[in-house]
Amino acid sequence: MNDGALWEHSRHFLNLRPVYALGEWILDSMPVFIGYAITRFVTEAAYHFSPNIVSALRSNVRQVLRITEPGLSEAERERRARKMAHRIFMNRGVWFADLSLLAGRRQVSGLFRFSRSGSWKALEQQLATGKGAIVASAHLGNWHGGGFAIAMTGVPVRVVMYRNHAGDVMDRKVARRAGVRQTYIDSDPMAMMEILKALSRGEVLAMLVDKPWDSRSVSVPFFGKPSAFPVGPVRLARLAGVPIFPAFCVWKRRREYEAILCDPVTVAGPDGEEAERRALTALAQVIEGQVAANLPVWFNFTPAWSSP
Amino acid sequence: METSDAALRTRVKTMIVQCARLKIQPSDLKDDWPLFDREKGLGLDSIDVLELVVNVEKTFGVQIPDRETGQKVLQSVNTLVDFLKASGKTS
Repeated sequence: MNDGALWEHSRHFLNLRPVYALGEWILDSMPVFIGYAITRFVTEAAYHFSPNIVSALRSNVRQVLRITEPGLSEAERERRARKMAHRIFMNRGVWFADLSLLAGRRQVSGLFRFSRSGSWKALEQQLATGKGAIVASAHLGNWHGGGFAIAMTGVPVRVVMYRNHAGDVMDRKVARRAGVRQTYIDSDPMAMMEILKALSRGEVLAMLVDKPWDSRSVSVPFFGKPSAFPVGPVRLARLAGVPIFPAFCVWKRRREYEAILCDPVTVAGPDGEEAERRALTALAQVIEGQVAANLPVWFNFTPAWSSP
Repeated sequence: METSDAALRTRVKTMIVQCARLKIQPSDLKDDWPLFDREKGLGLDSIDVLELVVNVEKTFGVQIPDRETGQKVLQSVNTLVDFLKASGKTS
């Protein structure tokens, strides 16, 4: 419950509701290729006017490269970090364009292709018990597309999220098209009741677990350095007695998504807080693997470590 | 000897202090302190709601059925005790 922190992190001259609405209208009204071309132009311009975001991106990428490619010289790492930061920023434009199309009037089935891989059978088995499950994702790829991909299988999905003041209208449209419910947890702590009930009804709760917005976090290893991950998802899993499925919706080609569902993480043991720490460590490891494999779509625009 | 009302209050306060990991004694918790008010009360958050709802069921065998009931019941020690009494818990 920390709306202020979220908004502070989201502050950007393009992160405004009218800008989102205009972008969505353009992409929805024009031929798709023109919409993408305009998006590319605007994203390139935004890159040059976003020094703080670019700096955070570079420092995040730098740390990833230290672990994934330890043999790189300092100069080469810096060169790659700069190049990758630009690529990630430009991919964020594609992310926005895709999201606008998902929210718009066009037929999604003709525009997007979703393939699935991983532990979908295990999710089916969990839901067959009558209890729900938590699907935990990160700011990697198109997490909205992930909700779409799960809902397309007929599974009841509820997205648990903080409100994005600029993108909430678009979020709602995408959720409505996908048949996904939404629960905001930033303004009313009692929303947790709704979340608990949803789990007991057998719903899948989808949430992003890679950024803590308040002090309720635990530091666990992430690319070789301690990074804060939120406690909420693992405590919910422990107290509700449901597993957490790490999940990611990534793309290698435009509008061709792969929804990856990883093996479930359980949060159980005589020492509750130790069980939560173990589960968060496991989640961070899975996210680390997916970030390393899909670095160009890792949209973490804030420093992932306090001193990267 | 404690009356049943006082015993119930003590159990509720102990549960709240444990669930929210508060650094106060249960007896220091006033009956009418707002649980979720950051300035005038304890400033509990959504994770505390989760702990409280699960532990009310585990400790007292009583379910808080929905969000609306939660909003009424989880205002203070007084409201929670009243809810438990209305649900048949007397101590």
